Amino acid sequence: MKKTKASLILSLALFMSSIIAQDSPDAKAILDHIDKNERFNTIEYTGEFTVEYKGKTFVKKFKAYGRGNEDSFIEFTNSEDRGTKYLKKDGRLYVYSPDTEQVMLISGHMLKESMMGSDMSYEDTIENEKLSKRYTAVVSGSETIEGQECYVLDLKAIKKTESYPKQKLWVAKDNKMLIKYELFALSGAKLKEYKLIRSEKIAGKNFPVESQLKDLLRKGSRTVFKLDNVVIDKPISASIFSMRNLER
Amino acid sequence: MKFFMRNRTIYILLTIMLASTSSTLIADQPVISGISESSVKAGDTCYTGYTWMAEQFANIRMQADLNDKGAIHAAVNAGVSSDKEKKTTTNIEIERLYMSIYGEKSDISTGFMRIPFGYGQAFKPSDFINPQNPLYPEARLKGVLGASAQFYHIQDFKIQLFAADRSDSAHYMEERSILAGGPSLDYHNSLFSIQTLYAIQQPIDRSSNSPVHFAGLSLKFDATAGFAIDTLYAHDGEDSGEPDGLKAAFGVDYSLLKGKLYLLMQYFYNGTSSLKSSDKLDKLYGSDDWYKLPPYDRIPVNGFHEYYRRHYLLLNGVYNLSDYTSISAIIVANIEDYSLIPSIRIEHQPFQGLTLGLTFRKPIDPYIINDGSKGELGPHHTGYKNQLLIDASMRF
Repeated sequence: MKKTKASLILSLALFMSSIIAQDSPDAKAILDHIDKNERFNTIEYTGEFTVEYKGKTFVKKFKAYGRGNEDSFIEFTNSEDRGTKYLKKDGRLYVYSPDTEQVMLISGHMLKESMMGSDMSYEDTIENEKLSKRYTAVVSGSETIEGQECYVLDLKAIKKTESYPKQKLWVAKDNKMLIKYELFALSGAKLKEYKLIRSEKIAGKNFPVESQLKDLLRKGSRTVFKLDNVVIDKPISASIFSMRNLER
Repeated sequence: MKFFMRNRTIYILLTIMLASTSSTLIADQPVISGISESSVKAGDTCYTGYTWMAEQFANIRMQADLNDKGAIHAAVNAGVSSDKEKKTTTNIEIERLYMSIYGEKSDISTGFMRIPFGYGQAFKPSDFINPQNPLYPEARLKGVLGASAQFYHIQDFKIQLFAADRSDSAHYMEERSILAGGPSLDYHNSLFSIQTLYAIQQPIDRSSNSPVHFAGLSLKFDATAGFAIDTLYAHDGEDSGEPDGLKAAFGVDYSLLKGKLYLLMQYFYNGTSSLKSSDKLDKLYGSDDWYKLPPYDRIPVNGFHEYYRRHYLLLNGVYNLSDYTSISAIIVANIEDYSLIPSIRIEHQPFQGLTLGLTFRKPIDPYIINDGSKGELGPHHTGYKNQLLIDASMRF
């Protein structure tokens, strides 16, 4: 009888530990999953972002190419910015303006500026490294975001130079999709807030095709990004990611 | 913005060319874009008193891509203006007209175009083919008739061969073409960008057989702030018309408040100056009553140049009050004769594509402060005491 009771307690303990294990998965593994889902060899898409700020709406359209997370090339196609191009290469950002007809390197101190009036800074666009290499993470709980069960992860930057020393992520339990994140300053002040609006299954990955970013220092501002015609892992000529292409 | 009537026939030919290229030669549809601007300029001149000018201006650009094999670029400036002295006049000029052919690892462009050089922020001496006026940093620069070939055989390097007619860009008094050409080399890496150039130019003096040599070096790098060095050395072996010497600009820029405030300071050394610090402007014109003539009627003894003294300083600050409103100030100062032109501009975007601007400039020199000497950037030499510009521009 004693033996039966002991084995029951043991079974219950094992069962409970498996439940706890399910609710507290390895935070590092979740970060790895997010990185894997958002990594690609190449990507090509057309897109637009809509900036709503102080009662005004600005819409910018563009064609974009990416190679890994290192190189990217964007050409704006809306009438006011037509011909403005950005090249991200080797961690540096270059811009070509059709007004000056010249390529300009965006200096490091200017990277905190808003890119084309959006809630995204230049700095946000040039970050190359995986989340799992830049942050340590702990699972701090579970929450339901718009009907979706999510793990909540608290991230702390490994390097002091990180633009956002702390992050909070909401990751869908079923497909490990990043549903929401918040970016914080070292003081704990919330700086930016991201929310996934819509994703699509593209090339076997859950890809965010519509999302919203809010820079909380710009009161009442939000930028909605929409990506169309997304093509992942189709070969793209290396010449796209060149100063030559920027100058054309 | 000022431009000059050239030939209306050229414009008609351009229009025909645009129409024909769109229907026959070009695989992709030509892309038309540009800026339309309405402006009113008012001010107090030293010669005709208070004056004003109203202008409607458009810069219309076209690019037609021939698949990935080449492209045709064209741009025209069209404007109608009216002022206190003159009745309404219409002006049309070609701003760009060139074509590019793209190869596997090289490109060739020929025609009426811009051939830019240098990384200097405002003063940019190495940009000697199409020099920029630091007081008007946003202005589109004039084109030159020329050709360039770029080679991209080594990663991160660009080797360029260029040739251009500098007669329009160098303030020479000659009425003929002044040909210049040479190679340049660009290299970019994650730490810095560097450019070197060499050019040889035909002598300006018709009786001389000695060409002018130019060597340029430009460097841009980041070290918390942004630094740019831009230099051009000119060597004129037998005094064929180009003053010998070094022109160099050194600039530092930095931004604060998450990019809301941008600051730039740049020093410009003009080693080809025709005046010493102790010289008065009278020496420049060989007379002490030069200021009685408006600037366009004066002829300097040693020919026209962009700058006549040796040391200049530029200060620029831009503060973004919001995403839609900014205030900027530029001061260009001659630190030898203490003359300067401060300029302040407020810009506002009421909606996407429309920008409203208000600019005020006032040349200052010791003469207007305490009856001292007249300065190069002062009201008598520039020709105006103050200037107010109100403009509205739309992009399309």
